Amino acid sequence: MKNRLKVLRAEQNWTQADLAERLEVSRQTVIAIEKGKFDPSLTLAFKMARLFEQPIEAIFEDEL
Amino acid sequence: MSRFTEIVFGTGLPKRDHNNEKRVNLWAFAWAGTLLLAMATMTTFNAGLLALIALLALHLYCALRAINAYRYFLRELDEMERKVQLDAIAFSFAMTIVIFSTGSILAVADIVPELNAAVVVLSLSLCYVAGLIIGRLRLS
Repeated sequence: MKNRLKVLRAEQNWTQADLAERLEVSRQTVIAIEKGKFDPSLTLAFKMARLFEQPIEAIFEDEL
Repeated sequence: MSRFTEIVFGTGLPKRDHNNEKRVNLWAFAWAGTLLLAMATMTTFNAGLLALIALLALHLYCALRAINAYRYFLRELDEMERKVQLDAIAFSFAMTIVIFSTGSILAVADIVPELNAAVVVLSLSLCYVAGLIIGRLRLS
């Protein structure tokens, strides 16, 4: 699944560590999600949507 | 180098997880300590039944605390780190069965000496660490 996490994070001038702290996950998890190597759960996806004030579809895109 | 240590040792974990990890290590060391204490007491001194029961109770108490601490550590981890941990456990379990079954065949053929419980513990530990490193590298 593709995502715009890196772009959204850059817009906020946050480092990966900043985002990890805000999402209460490890920096490794943020790196893996940004690279598309790990798909987050719905709970974490909603948390990201709330954090960036965007709908989930604006952050994640299905690769079908 | 710091990126490598972060991947291999999981140093990028939140403080909460590090504290939980310390608790797991503490109880695991206590558990191992009570094992050594029980072995030493039973082999060096001619300890009675009461001492044996007390040492067993202490050993079981530390083991249960270590298991609970690890369960709590797993529960509190974020979803990806939890996946890495559970994958590593599955990998170590499967590899240990394979190593032990292969070793048993070789032991029957008199190629290697008879396997004992220490091999299981060693195999579980090494494969678990290998599984953690593989899992973190795969997702980094």
